[in-house]
Amino acid sequence: MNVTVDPPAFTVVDYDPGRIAAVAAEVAALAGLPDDVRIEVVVDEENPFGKTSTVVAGRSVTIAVEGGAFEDPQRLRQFSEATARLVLGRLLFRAADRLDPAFGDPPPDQELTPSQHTAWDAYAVGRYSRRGGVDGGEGRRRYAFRIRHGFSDAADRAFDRLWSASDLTWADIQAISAVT
Amino acid sequence: MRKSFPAEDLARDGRFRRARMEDRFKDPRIERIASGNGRRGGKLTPDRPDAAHAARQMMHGIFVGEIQALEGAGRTVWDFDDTEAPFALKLDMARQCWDEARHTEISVKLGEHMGTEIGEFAETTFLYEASCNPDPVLRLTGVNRALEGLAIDVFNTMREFGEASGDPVLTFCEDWMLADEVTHVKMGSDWLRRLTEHDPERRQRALEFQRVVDKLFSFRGFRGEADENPVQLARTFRRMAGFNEAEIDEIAQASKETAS
Repeated sequence: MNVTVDPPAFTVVDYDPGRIAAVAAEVAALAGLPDDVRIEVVVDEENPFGKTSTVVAGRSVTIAVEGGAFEDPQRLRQFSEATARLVLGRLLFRAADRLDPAFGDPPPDQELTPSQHTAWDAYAVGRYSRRGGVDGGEGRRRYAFRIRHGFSDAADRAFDRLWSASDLTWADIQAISAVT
Repeated sequence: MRKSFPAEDLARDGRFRRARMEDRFKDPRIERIASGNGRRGGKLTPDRPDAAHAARQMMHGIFVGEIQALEGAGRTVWDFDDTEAPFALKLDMARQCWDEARHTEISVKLGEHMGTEIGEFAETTFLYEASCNPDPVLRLTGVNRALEGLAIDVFNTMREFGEASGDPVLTFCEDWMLADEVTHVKMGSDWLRRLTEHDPERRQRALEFQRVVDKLFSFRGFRGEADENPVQLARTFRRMAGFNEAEIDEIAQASKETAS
């Protein structure tokens, strides 16, 4: 898989572009992205926050992250592979969904509502944690989901369905979210 | 048993990792934001894309702050004899220890509620360090007026975040803890007045120490009254805690000055 990282060298944070590319390639394979897909990871190392965005155009996936998204929460400006894997898992499983014609045709990321984002995130991270055999941070994902969908039994049931599902379409995600 | 316990010797298990304040202050990314060249986190509201993460991080900061407040108040009970600090003051500090211990337990439960692990985020010990001043009046002013005053702002911010996100657990818990913080600040204000009644110079030194601590906690726009400040200055609750309008204005002004 063709993965590039921008910038090619970091000066503000202690990150290794080669390591980020390797992690992205491993996670992309786990997400089932075809080998001909080109992935570019753009890191804004001067930003300590963790905002992320993904653009899928043809067979190209561009992931833009603020530097804090890959940062170790216990060590300032240090790379956390576990954190990066979770972030990339969430984004690349969503990218794989977009490349799957059977998934449907969700709007571009910037047009999604916060509720739609958190619902799709729950579905993506749930799959990544099972396929990767890692702790996906279910508690924190549930909390993020509750902020957008409500602190209610109905919202918790919707989250459980999204977290444990494997073959949903965009229409399914919207339908599950609609009951909260 | 030794007195004036240094921050490096505070007991923590392997889950905790300490970050140095100077590293935070010297972080070039924060410098860049302060100079207006980067996105600021902004007021903690559910509308923020990173609302859940920011709230979890702030809650973890509250949790370690509660541990340090317990340690600080506990030291004040022990570090001074009755000629340096009246028994009634130490009784107030013992009562505060009880509150802080309860807050620590509540914070652990809130962390679980939000999906956060103990030690997930780094801990700085500046709060405890402010409680190491050898003069009990300065210590009380720095801790009970500056730091517990900050706690009022933080708890009110979290309480409002809980309300806005429809989270009854967070709202309820923060409201209860906020009530205790108002009492702690009032204790500090009362003891400052009583202990310096005939010593205006000492009172001035104590208030100056409080200003220094307040400024540090408003560092780079962390606290203020603008939408870009993650923690909002809680004027109403500060009034309830005994701050007068001029004192609150001074903190607001200092927040603006330290934002850039």
